[in-house]
Amino acid sequence: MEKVLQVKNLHKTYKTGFLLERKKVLHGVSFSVERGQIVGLLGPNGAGKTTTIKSILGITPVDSGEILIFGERLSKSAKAKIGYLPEAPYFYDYLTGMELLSAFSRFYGGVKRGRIEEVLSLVGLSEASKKRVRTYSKGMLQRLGLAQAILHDPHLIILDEPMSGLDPIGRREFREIINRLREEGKTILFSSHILQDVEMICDHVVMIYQGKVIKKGVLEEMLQEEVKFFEVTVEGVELEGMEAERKSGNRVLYRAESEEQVQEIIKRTMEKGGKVRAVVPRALTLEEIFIREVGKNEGSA
Amino acid sequence: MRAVLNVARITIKEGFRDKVYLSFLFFAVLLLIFSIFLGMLVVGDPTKVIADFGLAVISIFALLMVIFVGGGSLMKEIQKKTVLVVLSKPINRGEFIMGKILGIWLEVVVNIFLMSLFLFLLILARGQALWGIFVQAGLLSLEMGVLTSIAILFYTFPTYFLSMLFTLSFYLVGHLAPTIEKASRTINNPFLRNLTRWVSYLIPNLEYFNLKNQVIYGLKVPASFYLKSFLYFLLLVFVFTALSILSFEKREV
Repeated sequence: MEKVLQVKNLHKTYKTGFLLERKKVLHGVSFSVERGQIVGLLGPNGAGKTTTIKSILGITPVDSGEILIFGERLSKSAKAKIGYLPEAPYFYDYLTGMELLSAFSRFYGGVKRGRIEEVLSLVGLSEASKKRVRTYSKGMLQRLGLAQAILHDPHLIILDEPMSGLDPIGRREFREIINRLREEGKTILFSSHILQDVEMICDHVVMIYQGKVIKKGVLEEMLQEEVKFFEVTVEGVELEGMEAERKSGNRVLYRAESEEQVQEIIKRTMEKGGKVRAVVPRALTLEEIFIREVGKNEGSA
Repeated sequence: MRAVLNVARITIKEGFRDKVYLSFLFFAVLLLIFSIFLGMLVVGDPTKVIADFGLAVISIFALLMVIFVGGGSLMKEIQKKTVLVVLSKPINRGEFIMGKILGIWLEVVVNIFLMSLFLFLLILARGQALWGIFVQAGLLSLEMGVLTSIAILFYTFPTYFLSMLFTLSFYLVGHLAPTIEKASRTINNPFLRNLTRWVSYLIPNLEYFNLKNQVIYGLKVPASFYLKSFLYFLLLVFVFTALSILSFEKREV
């Protein structure tokens, strides 16, 4: 599949304070995003997510490393294929939502007729389009931010903490919009420190911690390969020496810590003339995987 | 070029609606009206007093606009991170800075001509058409172009107060440049004399854009002066815009 974005071995140091002390924030970050993927850049605050995104967009220079967008280095033509929503976006106070989008569209040489109204409607800002941006709530600013990011119909959409500051309804609506973009075949890179958002939206995950990528891969595979225990439901028998998790009528649910234990439960149930109704593997949650990876990283540091 | 003009257009639109801009314009007009009363109180030709005071008011308010409306708009964009969104578009940092300078300058030029028109009408009401006011407005516009590029250079630094102070200092020292050069001739120590002279050459000489006295007293000015002023304006704007771009390239936003 076509690689939309390739981030190779990024290193970045900031100079901070009066004495310009050097603080390294990215230590060889590498990952790639393929066409049509929704990739979650997951990490706690200060992990280097925003710096990585700013480096991709050429907003902040890196010490070393390479970034390829559609196989080429960042240029104006590559930028025209990207849409970007920063964290807690802020726009020109005295312009209206409509004027802002119209002004931004000029950076791309204009957009097709009716496109501005279309994106305003998509993000639910049609009614507020003639109001000045300074009167917008935080949630409305976030929606306007998304509208300007998708205005020029970009191939790659980069969203930096798009859910922060949104109420539960706003979050759900945002997820619906992202799902729509997924259906349109857009490629999305999405940073967040909220695991639930990543779990609900993304199909790929890049975990970043202290400026390093600590784990990356397909979310579903990641969750499936990390089985914590099994739940075995049997019917018509009770197994001696095993503590039941739950009983309901003649059904009993046992917890098995390993595949061997599952086999043992099945064998004993069959021997006693009972039936095995279900064996459900219970995987680690994304949160548990993330915390374990962080622990590993700290252990090796 | 499209990106530069677009940034300028956004800056102008935003600026004209900014309450600070409108407040400055309002207070400038109030002070210009006050000049009528000043003309009555002060000994001398009232028209000349009004013109003198009025031109000074226009000059000071144009400077305040460069500092507060112009520099403030760049600072706000950096602090509130609007600049991140703009820089993610097909535009580079140099084009962004050029667009800001152009937009702020045009905003201030409109203001200068509005204030000048008001002053012209005040004096016209007294029976004198002082067309020279518009000549001075043109020169002041060039001066404010230079000061805008200087202000933007300083506003690419992270300290707001220092940026403001440096811009103001350049305005004051810029008008003293010829005086410093003259004073250097009276220094006996050759090293200090040369040093002072060279320092005076390095300071942007803003007196190239000042014809207030000639306007008020109706003195003739050779055409070569305007040409020199314009070329000097181009040189200074080029130098300070280039420095602003270099400084902004290094700034983390």
